[in-house]
Amino acid sequence: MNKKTMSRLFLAVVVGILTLSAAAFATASDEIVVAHIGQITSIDPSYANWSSNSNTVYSAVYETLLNFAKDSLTSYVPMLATVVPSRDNGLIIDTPGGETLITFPIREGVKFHNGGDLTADDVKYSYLRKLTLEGPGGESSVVLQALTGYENLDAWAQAFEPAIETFSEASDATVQAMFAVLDGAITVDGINVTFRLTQPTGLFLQFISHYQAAGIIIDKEWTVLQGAWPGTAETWKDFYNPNEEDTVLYGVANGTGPFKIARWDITNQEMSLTRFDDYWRGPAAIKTIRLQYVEEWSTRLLMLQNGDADFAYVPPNFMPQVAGLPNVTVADPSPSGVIRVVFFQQIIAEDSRFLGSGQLDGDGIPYDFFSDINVRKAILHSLDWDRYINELLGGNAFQIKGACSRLCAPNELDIPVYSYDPALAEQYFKAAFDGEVWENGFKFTAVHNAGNFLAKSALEMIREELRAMNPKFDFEIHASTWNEFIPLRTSSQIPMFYSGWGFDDPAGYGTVNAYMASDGYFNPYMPGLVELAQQPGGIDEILDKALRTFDDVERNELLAEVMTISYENATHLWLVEEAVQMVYRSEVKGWYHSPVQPGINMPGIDWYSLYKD
Amino acid sequence: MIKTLKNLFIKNPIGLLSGAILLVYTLVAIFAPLIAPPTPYRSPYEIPRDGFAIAPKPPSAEHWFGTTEGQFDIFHGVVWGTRTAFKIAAVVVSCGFVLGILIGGISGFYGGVIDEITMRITDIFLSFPFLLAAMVLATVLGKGLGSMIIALVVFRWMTYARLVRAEVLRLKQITFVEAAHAIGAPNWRVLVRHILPNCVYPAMIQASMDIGRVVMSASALSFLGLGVEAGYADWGQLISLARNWIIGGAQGAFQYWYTVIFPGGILFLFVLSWNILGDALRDVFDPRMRGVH
Amino acid sequence: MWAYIARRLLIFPVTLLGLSILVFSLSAFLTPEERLMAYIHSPLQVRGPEVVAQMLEKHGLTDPLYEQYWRWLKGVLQGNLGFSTTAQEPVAQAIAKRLPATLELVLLAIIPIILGGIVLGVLSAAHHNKPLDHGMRLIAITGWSMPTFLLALLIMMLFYGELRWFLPQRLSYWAKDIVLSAEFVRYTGLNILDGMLNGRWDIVGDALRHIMMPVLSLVLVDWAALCRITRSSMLESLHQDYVRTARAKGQQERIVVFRHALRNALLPAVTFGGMLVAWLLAGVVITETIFNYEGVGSFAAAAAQQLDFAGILGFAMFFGTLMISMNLIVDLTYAFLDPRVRLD
Repeated sequence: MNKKTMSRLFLAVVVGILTLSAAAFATASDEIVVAHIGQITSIDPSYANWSSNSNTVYSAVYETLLNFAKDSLTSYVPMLATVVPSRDNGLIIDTPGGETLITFPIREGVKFHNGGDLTADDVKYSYLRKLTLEGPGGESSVVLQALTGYENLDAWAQAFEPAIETFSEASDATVQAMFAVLDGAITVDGINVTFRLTQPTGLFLQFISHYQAAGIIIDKEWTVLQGAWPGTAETWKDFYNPNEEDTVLYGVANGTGPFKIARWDITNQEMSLTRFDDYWRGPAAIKTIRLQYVEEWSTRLLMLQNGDADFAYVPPNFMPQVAGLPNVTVADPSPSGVIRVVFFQQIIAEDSRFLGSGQLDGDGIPYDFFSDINVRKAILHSLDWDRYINELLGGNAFQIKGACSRLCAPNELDIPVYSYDPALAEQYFKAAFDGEVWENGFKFTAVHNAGNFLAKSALEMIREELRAMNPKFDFEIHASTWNEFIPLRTSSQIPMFYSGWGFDDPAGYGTVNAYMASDGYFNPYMPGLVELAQQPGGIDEILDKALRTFDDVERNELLAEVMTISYENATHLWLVEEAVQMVYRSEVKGWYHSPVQPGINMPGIDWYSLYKD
Repeated sequence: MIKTLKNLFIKNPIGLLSGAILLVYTLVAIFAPLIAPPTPYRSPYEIPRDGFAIAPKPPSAEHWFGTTEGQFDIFHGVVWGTRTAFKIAAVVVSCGFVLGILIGGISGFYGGVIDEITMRITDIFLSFPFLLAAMVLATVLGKGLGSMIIALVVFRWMTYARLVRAEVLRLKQITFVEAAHAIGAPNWRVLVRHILPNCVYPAMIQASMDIGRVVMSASALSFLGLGVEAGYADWGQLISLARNWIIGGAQGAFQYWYTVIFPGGILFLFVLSWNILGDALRDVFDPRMRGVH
Repeated sequence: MWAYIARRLLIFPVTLLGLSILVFSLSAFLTPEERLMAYIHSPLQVRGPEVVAQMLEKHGLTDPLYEQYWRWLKGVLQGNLGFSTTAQEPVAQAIAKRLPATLELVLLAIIPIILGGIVLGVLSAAHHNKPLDHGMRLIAITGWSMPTFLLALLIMMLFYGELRWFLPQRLSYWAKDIVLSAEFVRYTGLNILDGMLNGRWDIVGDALRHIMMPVLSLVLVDWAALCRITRSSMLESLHQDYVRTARAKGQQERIVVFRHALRNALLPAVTFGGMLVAWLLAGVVITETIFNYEGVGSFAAAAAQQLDFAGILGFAMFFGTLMISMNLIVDLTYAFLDPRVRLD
């Protein structure tokens, strides 16, 4: 390095520091920086990962046929369709054969990010790709059920070939036959796409209006060119149920939304989106969006304080630190829609390491500990809700009545809930296992997801209550990461665990189904609950009715009935739904709370509506 | 001996001060049950909590040092954390010490293939920086005081082994050992009676300097979330509970000062005192340093 | 000397083999189910207990350990360290991508550490038992006793929170947009160097602004260590016979210190260079995490916190290999520099 270079370097440092101290301290006036802690995984909309973090990206990049109207959870606005179908405008027709036809006229003149035009064929392909790619438990199960009568491909394939267990084993003839059904269920006629619902589904419009479900529209031509499924029966199985990183849309996107992906820097966990200038509603006010993963809370807080981040994820426990910060807006609390629940595993795998001694000898629990309803009821009466809500959540939370957010209609109905009552809890413990529980005490391990303060505190509060009740009562609390937790949960190893569920659907059907139905998301690994749900006239049958009906009042009552069954059987510990507050720089305008808008571990953002002063 | 003690403390007021500070720590550890009485039916190491509220609360008559996030009593945590610190330091350093003396002694004394093998194994263990190695092992073993201690011990013996080996090699050349050999004393006896006692000093100096490092590494593990279980009295745990409050809140950067200052300051003072004492000990005892004074 | 070098080179692969056994045996502490976590990339992969059993079978996690070791070793030799769930990519790739960032940090920190540490160590020794020495020792020991995480958080509070001189992360977004664009050639992956090579001094300035805080927290802690070591080896050599002779001959104290004693004292300091790199790399785990600086260190911390076993063991393997290679290089250099090195 010669002298000249040295002096230039020195100059650069000085000049750099001086000029930048003035320039770079706030984000640009057409830039939004979000400091979050939600790891973005695949952004392929057909790869259902149930991860709300990717949904944040979808909401900027992709669009659906319909969307929820702003400030509404029950009415829709047309997006890529031009009209919201209804019986009144003749776009929903009930056939004499008991089928329902729903037709969407597709908007013309809509461009994809690469310049391609949106066609009705793209719509059909998008739905088919989602339906054919997803394995069991996928997000499109309601749509599949509406179109075919089967909730997943495995069950459907079995209807053709009873001998097989999974779709992967199906013969070519079966695959052809299944494809023919799907192909016939979604038909294109000019600019119209018609869905033929073999099973009436009142919630169909809701489930395709949501970013999480099958509703996202992608560009067929471009996607196939990238090496995705070409849309034929012969190739279906090759693309079915892929590994996350093996789908072609894992890291690239070509949607119709107001923003396009500029870069995804996985190493620095930063996703940059830029404005799509040919957007059909006109270009957005914001030019660049940066989604930046920032693990350390102190760093996030300082970024927000200094204006280096416009939105920052503030865990509810750290709200006291942002209250009153200059130039920072803390939005009014609004329901998060997130259901927080503690599960009881009624039949625990006997080789579980969380059972202690495996006997009721004071050092463990038997595998069927939680199958005694007295134990469950005792624990349900041991949580001091008032204290939990007021001390931990600053009063910004409500006890939930079951698998249903406060935003959902069934929650308005009269459903009983458990209340804090140590005396009653003691009584139930004394009744459990013929008094053996009270006599000998117990010990086991409860599990929650690492870093979840609310879950940890709920378990700690219950533990403190139990220990005070009887010094022989105790349990350990283990914080787990998801890739440890999921194999444990699916093999029924965990006696008591916490889980949460983001806001799924305003009707409440999705969450109630996920928690209560025998084939709901959680339940294949909860033997006790499966038995309960499958009883004649039981939960499964009620939920089936709720899905079919087009009558909102009837559906709400049916869902409330399921929630009451849950109460009577003490199936879960329904914790709370807390109110969340968005925290952002005051120069950002246009943000409004919308519970259906997906967020990245925080309230959702309608990117298109944002602008800066 | 008296002269060396004099050297150690009288001529070195800072050394004396650090010795006095460590004495206070020792007293606190011994009388912990009197200073911060434990809750009945609970392990004394379990920090009592006053409710579950999130934001830390400043010092008050009830909580002398205030409370952390989640209302753990900082005073109780600090007092019993002193015991934890001594426990960790004692177990880790003495295990490392014994292992090191055995391995280094045997390696140096027998030489040849044994020496070669043990020294290569030592090299392998030394190829990880201490904190990283302990971090990896603690991750694998899971949370808890026990696994943390094991993780620290497994990667703490190598320095001692090398020191002792070098010392043994030196002593082997010295007359009295050769004489012992000459009169036909068995190998193990020469090693145990004549050589090892003489290697203990350098290893002890090393040990005194290690105590601070070990406690600091343990707190770093706790800070990374790999240390003791939640609620266990441990300085690192208290500091990690302060982690999210260090930069303060709307009422200024120092709004939650007590969450950092008490556990952080006490940890820092402990480490500092041990390091100063270790330094002073080395100045006095280290044979290579003797000529210096 | 040649025999010594040949022996060192011969032992090298054996040591690496030993390292691989050590790293693998760490994973023997895990249950097969825990080891399975390294293969679970998405919740959708695991849809029932039978899937868990199938996956255990498929990845051979219930096989005898020596078979698993052999399989793992073969993978490692082909550069396959497994898939990291934290980084969402293969471990080797994750480390390779993050290495330049850490390298930049370490290189930048090492200069002031070595200069400051050696100069102040020598000064301290030259003024043995005088006020300067006492003061220096006190400062050094205070720095040495400061937990890195505490220091790093205080630095961030001061320089980012209050003064706003320096920034977290590696680059500002405008700079990152330039660096990742086609016009900017990534020669090394080191932002400062690449900025110079591309003639983009604004990038250099921005990179410096971002790297300052982690550099500062590394320097403040590790400077003290080098200072202490230089001081004591300096003191030792000042009392060697030949130095005494030089003094006796009436040479100026300055010349004695710098010409005779320092040269010898520097030899242990050179060895210490290897150790220093090791310390710095340990230090980056905490500093990178706090300053949101995406390097190898913050990757290791995240992998440890999220129980990403493939990530953490892959990191250990990579790191151990690096350190063993570095020790070899240091030893060989030493052998050339110091004729006294014999077969011991």
